[in-house]
Amino acid sequence: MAKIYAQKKITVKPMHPKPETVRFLLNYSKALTMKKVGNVQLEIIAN
Amino acid sequence: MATVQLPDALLIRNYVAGDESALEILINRHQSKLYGFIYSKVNDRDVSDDIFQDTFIKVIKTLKSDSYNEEGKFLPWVMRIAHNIIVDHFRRNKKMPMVRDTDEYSVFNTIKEADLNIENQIITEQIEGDLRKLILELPADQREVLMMRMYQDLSFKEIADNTGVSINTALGRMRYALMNLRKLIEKHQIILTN
Repeated sequence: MAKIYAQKKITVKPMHPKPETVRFLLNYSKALTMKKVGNVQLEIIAN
Repeated sequence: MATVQLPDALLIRNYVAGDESALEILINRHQSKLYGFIYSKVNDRDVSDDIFQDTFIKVIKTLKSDSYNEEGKFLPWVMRIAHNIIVDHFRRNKKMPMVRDTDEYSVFNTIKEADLNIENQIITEQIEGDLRKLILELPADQREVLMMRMYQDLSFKEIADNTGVSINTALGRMRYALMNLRKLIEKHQIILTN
């Protein structure tokens, strides 16, 4: 038993998205404006 | 010295109020759990990245349109969005019809001749009239690009030169013009086929 509990824990490296995916999201967020016209939400992207 | 971690709810409030850095903190805080969750379902790095991106695009749009309802916790809400996108991904891949030409069947046989009778001409005119009215509701920059592309048949290079923006900007405006047009069509419940 002691052997089992003394076994080294398998460490799993946390997974992350690619840095460019995160960068895209941050830039997208900065560029996006939502505008409400009547009942409809329009998306406006500033380039 | 202990660092104080701002709660998600406060970061969301700050983000909705215009603090873009709050989004970065939220993404950094939850990216590992969310990405791991997506990867555990799809087992593919590229697909996981696409779904991660689509999930946060939905999150950003919901938060920016002020329609986030703070009933539950942020992460379970984001996971639910990711889960729905994963389901859509599998559904789409399974149901995507594959058409192959054989000796007896060609996909081009299904394309009809554009022979308009009087009735079809009237319907087409009505559709075009409805469409013009909808186009007028678009934001000015998107409307300008769409009109130049569709009615003046200009290339994106020419549109970019005429409007003084880059080709990518012109392409982006066209994309958003079409997306917004679809929303307006849904809103007005217009059927644009004959």
